[in-house]
Amino acid sequence: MGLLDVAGLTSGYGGPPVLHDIDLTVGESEWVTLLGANAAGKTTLLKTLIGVLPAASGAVRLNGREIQALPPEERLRLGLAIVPEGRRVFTRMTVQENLQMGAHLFGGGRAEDFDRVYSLFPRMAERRRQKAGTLSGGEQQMLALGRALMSRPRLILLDEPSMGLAPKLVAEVFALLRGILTEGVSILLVEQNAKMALKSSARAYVLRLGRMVLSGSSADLAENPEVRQAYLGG
Amino acid sequence: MYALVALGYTLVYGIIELINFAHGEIVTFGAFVGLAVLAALAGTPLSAAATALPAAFLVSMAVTALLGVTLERFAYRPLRGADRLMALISALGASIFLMNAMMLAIGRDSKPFPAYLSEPVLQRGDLVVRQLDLFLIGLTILLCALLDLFVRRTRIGRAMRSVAQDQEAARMCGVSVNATVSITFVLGSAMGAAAGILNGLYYGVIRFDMGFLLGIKAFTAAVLGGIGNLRGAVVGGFVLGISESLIPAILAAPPFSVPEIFDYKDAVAFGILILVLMVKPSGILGEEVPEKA
Amino acid sequence: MNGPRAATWLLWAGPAFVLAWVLGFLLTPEVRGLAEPQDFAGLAGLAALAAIAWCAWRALDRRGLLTVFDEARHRAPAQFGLSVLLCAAVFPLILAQLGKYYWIHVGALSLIYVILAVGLNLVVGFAGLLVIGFAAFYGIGAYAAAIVTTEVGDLPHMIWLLIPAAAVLSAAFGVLLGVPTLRLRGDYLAIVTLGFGEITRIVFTNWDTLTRGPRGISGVGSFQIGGWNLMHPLDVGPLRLDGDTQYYYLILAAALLGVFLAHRLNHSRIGRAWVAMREDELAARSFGIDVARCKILAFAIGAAYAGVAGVFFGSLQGFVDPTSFSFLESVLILSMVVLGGMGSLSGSVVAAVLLVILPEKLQMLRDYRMLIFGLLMILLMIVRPQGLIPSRRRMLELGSRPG
Repeated sequence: MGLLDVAGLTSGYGGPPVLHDIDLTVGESEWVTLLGANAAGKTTLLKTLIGVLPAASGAVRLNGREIQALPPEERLRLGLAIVPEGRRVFTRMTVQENLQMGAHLFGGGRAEDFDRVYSLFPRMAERRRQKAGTLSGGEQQMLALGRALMSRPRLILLDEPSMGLAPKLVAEVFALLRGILTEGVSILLVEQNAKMALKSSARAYVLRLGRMVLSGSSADLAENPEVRQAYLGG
Repeated sequence: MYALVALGYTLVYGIIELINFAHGEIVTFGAFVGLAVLAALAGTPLSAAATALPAAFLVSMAVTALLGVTLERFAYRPLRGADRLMALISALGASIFLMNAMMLAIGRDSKPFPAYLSEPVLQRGDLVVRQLDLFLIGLTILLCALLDLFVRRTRIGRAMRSVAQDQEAARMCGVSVNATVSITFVLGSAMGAAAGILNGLYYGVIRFDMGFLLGIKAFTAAVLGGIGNLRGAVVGGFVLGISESLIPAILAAPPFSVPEIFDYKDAVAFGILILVLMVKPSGILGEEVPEKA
Repeated sequence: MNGPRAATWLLWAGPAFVLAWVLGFLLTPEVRGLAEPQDFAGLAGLAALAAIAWCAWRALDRRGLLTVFDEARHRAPAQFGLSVLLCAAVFPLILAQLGKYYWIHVGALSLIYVILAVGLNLVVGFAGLLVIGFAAFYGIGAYAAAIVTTEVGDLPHMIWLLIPAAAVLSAAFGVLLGVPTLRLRGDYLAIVTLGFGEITRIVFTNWDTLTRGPRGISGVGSFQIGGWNLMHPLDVGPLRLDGDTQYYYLILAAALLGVFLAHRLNHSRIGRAWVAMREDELAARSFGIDVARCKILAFAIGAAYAGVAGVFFGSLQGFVDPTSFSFLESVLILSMVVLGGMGSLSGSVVAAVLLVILPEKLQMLRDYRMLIFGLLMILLMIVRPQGLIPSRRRMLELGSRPG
């Protein structure tokens, strides 16, 4: 049994389900990648996992505890955090306030967590009084990641953190994620940048039209002709 | 005083983007609760201004906050995420319902509000400054400052701002939207209650439908200052209050000499509203917020 | 009974049933309180009528006849229109035979409200713009009629000219209000119209030289055809039509025309543009719909309806004063639209008639009327936003909405 176990999950936006019968596992300190084309249901899956979308049926277990009926704040308390698609930092708040929001359930942030995030992202420390809206795209992505780290998660859900970033910055993000992994935090990464994601992760899943169609070790999937053709550019 | 009422609109609008039509009635309700407390204390040793007024304010703010939360729970929450038009109609229904409920409970007549703090502190010719005037201005500024501090500096205030900006992202940070909206209504309604009592003290009478016009004017103040912006609401409130007394006075005096203008005093606020919407819809302190569908 | 025949049968039986029901309703004693035996008889009668309506509705619904009726109505609109027209035309004649002249007056009033509700529904229901001070436009029409006919002198046929004039005047005010709020969200429009309604009332009350202030204006001119004044009793064979009855027919014609035009508008290019705009302004814009023009148009047309209704009102009553155009009046009209179903013309018609005659019967609830309207608005929005008689289009939209 892993840290996160998803069994038979069906979910959507109230109309016909977007996700059908999803099974997925993320182990302790494991990096799992989720691949899929646009509109395959990747973001829907992450939103259902964090709890902003309700699950229609199926079970989500975190550390063996069923969480599919819990509101997001309970899931955050149990060690889940998310870096949402498109960063979604609070642009009209300062950097510091954004980080405080990340630790909202924990009294607005412990000093050592601020220190940790600021040491991971020295640029954030320089701009802590600036409005997040004045940051560059890459900096906002770092801020979103820092915000997620503030709640000391055991599993971080990342939704396309490399979107819209320059290659150099993407590499930086991945390096950071590897660092976080070594601290014992698990990662579930949704990515378009399949090559890099598969290189960094242990296992991977492929989602197509709302169903899991492939799973296996990242190395195997990277060799899979279907995956190569669809996500790795032939 | 407009500033205080305007704060209620702006708070709610800023968070859930709904014009709370019933806010004017909330203010009236607060005034009546305050009156009830003052009436209950009359004749007891606690009837002095120093004890009776704080009691009236505290009780009224608490009770009115409860009403605000109830209102949100039953009339607005079920419609969150639904068509905006429906929420607006529901808000209007709530306003009509409350206004008529108060009329049935209290009657159509104006109720006299006991006079407090009416001794003049300064008298120079026609100009009389009563204690009450200072109290009114002082309390308004104090409450506005406290609210501003609360929203800017506390954890809950941060949560309110995050919900205002991006509800889903706020939920992803573990903010409970329902709880936050409830708190918003608590604050807005409590401010409204204070405004209601001040209104009663100032004019000496209150009526079941006074919230209606007050509501329109306060909304004007909120728009004037830039809706959704707390400091803007305060500025807008003061600007509106001053224009309302100055503009008719100017038009009544030479060279315009239109003494009938005082009959239309209530129209001034409305004229300002239209003017602001035409010239600078984002208000004095408003950020340039593009139109949303 | 086979399908088409049942449908034809229903087309005639339906309105006839409604007519019988309304008459039964009118003959039920008034409920003024809960003291007299008459009150209880009235209550019992109303309850029985409500039960009959409910049972009939359920029975039809269960046997799928409502759908048949609905389809028949759309397949043979002329036949349906004729059947409704016939029932509406017989209505005052029966009442006159029974000596219930007051109810003919109420009938004429409710037809005025039909015009108002349909007009407001165009703005709120179709175009999705919440207008609250609708009574202001109504008042402008009524005051225009009153002022012109009393000040300028009551020339024989001038009031006919006043109908288009009032329509244009009200529409102009509508445009005046609509323009500054166009670029903004609908919420602003709601509050601006609310304020406008108040201002109009203040002006009516205070502009003594023109409106005679709170005393109002009496002696508003009446409609004439040739040398004939519609307010004078008219003998047609054995029948004597009093002024109210003739006005009833006049306003009925106007209301029918109004509903017909609204119906045509709804199914025209403009109607579709309105719905598109209400659903998604951005998308509508990207399809080349001139959103600003559409809004202004909706606004102007709605205001024009109210202006026309105002002329009829002023002339029917012969008297106008500011209290007839208060905030409560706006709320009443809005309640009709909401109750009948936003975007549903037949709903507006039924709700308008219902909300005019129901309070006449339930006198004891008079004071609670507004309270009930307020509650109704909230509850309807939450429980049944499509209203009593949902429009087909709206039903589809709401039915398919997730959640």
